[in-house]
Amino acid sequence: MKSTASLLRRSRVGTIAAVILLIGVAALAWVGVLSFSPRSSADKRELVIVGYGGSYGDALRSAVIVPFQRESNVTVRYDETCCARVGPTLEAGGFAGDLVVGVDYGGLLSWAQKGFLLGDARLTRLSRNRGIPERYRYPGTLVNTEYAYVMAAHGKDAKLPTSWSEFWNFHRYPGRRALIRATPVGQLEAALLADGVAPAKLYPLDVERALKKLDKLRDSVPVLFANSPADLVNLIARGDASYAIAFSNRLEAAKHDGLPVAFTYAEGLRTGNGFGMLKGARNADAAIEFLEYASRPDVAARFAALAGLQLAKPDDVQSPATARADSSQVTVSPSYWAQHRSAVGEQWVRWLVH
Amino acid sequence: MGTLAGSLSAPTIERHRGYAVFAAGLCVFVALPLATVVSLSIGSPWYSIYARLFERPEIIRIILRTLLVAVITAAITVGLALPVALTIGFSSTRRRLALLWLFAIAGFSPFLVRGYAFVGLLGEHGPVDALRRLLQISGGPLLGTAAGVVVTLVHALIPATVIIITAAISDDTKRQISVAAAFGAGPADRFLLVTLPTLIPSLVSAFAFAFIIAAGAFTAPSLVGGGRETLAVQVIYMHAIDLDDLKSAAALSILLALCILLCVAAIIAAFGSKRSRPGSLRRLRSVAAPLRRVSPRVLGAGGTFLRVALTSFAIILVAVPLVYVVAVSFQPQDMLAFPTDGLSVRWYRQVLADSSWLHAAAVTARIGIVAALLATSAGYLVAQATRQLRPSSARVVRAATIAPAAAPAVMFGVGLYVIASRIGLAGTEFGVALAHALAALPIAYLAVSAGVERYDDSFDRAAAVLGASPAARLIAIRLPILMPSFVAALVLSLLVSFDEVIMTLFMAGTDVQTIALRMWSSAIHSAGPELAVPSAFLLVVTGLGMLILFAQFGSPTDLTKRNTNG
Repeated sequence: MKSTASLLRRSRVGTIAAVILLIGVAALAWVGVLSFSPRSSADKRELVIVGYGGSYGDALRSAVIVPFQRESNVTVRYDETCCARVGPTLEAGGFAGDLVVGVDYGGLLSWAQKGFLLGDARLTRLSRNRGIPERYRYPGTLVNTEYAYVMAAHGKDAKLPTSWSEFWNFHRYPGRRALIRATPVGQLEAALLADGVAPAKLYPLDVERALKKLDKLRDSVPVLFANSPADLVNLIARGDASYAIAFSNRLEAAKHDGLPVAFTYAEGLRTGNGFGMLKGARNADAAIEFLEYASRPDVAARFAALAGLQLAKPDDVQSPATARADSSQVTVSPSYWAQHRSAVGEQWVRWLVH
Repeated sequence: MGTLAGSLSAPTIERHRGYAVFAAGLCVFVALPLATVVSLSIGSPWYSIYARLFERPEIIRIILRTLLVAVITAAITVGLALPVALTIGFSSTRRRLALLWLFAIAGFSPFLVRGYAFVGLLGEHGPVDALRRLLQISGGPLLGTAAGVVVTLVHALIPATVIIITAAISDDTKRQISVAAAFGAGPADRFLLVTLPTLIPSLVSAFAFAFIIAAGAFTAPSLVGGGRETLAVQVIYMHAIDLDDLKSAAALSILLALCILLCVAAIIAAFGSKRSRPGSLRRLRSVAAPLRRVSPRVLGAGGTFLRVALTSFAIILVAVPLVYVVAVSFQPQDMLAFPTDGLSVRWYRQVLADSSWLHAAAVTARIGIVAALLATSAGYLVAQATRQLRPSSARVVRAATIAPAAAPAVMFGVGLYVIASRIGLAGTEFGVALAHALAALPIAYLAVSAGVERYDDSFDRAAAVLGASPAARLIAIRLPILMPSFVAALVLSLLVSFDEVIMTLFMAGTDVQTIALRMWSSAIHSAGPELAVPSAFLLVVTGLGMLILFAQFGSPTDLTKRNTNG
């Protein structure tokens, strides 16, 4: 039974099984490579835009992309998976898209400083020609809209705090609060304003003081941490949280859809939001053409209204005429966040799990 | 048998060169993306990024908390999956089909949507909190707590663990139990000394699987978790994506992966190795001894009650979110809420009008099938290899096989992407399928090895003596006997491929879109009922598919019966 012949035959079972499976796998792989070849990137007139979905994506599509495609011979592909992929893909030297849209100016600056954006001279010229305010101008970007981190409440006619220090008044405004987990931007500013820091002296942020103020919030009422801006609106609309620090554009959209939310721009923390031209863009010409169209005053106004955004005002204009902008609003410093994103982020993580 | 196999295998290691070569190749294949991640984590001096991590006291705390949550989750999951598997394994064909169907379709409904179901179920106005208030239990809603995260994870993990354990209940087990009963063994002895010992390898597989997935969880803690319960992978994501700090993310990934692998190695060494078996048997015997004094009738009734109660709880835990998904898909409002204000098909109309969903479905199916076949074949070959290699090399191969699950998807995705873009695979469906196969490899391996470990080589030898050719032996003996494990591995890999988002995000580039990716992208900024539509749709479609499959071939467990008996 233990004869060499039987051992040899036995050995063949394993080898043959392995070979058969390997051939099968190889055949599959081969078929796979042949039939699943990448979409031809030869199409010179295709523009890949990476951005957010939801109300933002809907607005961009209907107000900008669709009419743009009618006017030009460029085909736009809008990818809604923004923006987890962009940074790591560019760091690895890959193609993440031609344009990125809907990113905060601080985030765009941080990417620009890492070399992720293309400082095309045509874009710089366009930015100047369209009257983009000085505070939002940087090579590789076009930042023509704004929104704000604001106080929101559950219920259409909910009683709203009038200032951040009121937001921290748990007797007058009892109930759960919702914050966003991913980044401290805006939330630290809110805490500092609530703690009595003057808007003009906000930056550089006293992070420790802000976190102490947030500790007070977390120790006094239950706090939920939302996963995304959309979740934040869901938590507040469903009533899982009574109050939230949320994004005004999302709230505008939610209110427009008839969801039970209320919010105020009082002491809102304004931040610029716009376009960036990505490193490795395959179709820079079409990207410029698209941005020229998107920043045309009529198109930009149509888009901003649909997306719940406000057009970025020139520096010298203080009027809150069109935007329901309140003069009590404070601008989030893009340069501060571009510089301190990682360091302050680490402190935020420490505070979160503490 | 064991000693005979041992004496045969010792002098003839080279006869399995095919397996060894394959295992070595696989190790390289897994090691390449990991090496890329390691290279990302190198600073100057090389350890500086790691040193920075250790200077931050919260990092150790986050890792320990993650491992703790994972252990608790895995223990509860296996504790619930075992009674379910026993119920499925020992019940009539019809009930078995119904239960397997439920657990299989549960797995095929995208986890993202079930995660949202839990946000609604566990929240302030959800049914769970209503029940809590009714019972006047103090405390608040489970939303935003570690307990909520554990509940959600257990829900997500039960289907796969049930499938792993059920695949290990063979007709031999049943026969041994009847024999034991005929010789007068009481219910405690039958369970502790016959059933449990034969299931130990599969229980260890199930526990290891649940532990790995729970320790690498991202979606569940992101949706349901609070601030203090932020788990390791979430922190890795925050660094990689929100804080633009890929280096720290890479270092933290390596650290977490090492911790997970160490824990799994410890689990396998303590319970899964051949050496630990006499010890666990002795322990089981000492538990069984005092139970013999209790009346068998009381014990039997108590055992049945416990089994039925736990099974029912598991079924509720798995089924309720599915009901929620279907209900929400018919709601008229704009956000995910429950109960609904009425019925509406507006979201179905919206989704069906959008051809991109259909396109994504076709892409998902193609990728899933290729990935499942690749992962299962690779899992089988690795299981054969680890069985025949020297223990030290087997350990390396096993670690390499499990590594893709232990390494957070975001980093593994980046690592794979770097390599794939060099060889032109990035942005292709095959590249995504390959990434999914890697992601599914650990679970496919665990599922197949549960069968391969118990496979008795004497069948092959007997057939060889009778003159069966190697190919005939493979087709007529090996495959049919291992079929339940293969089916389990295929189904589980398909599930992994179906739900995979993060690695897909990188590999797919801007060119390939799967259903999971499509849902993820629309969820990230608008979590509306249209998300529930494809899931409800899939629930029905996969449900019908499973019914046909089961009616045609019987359940995976039935296949063994047919092929070994007739």
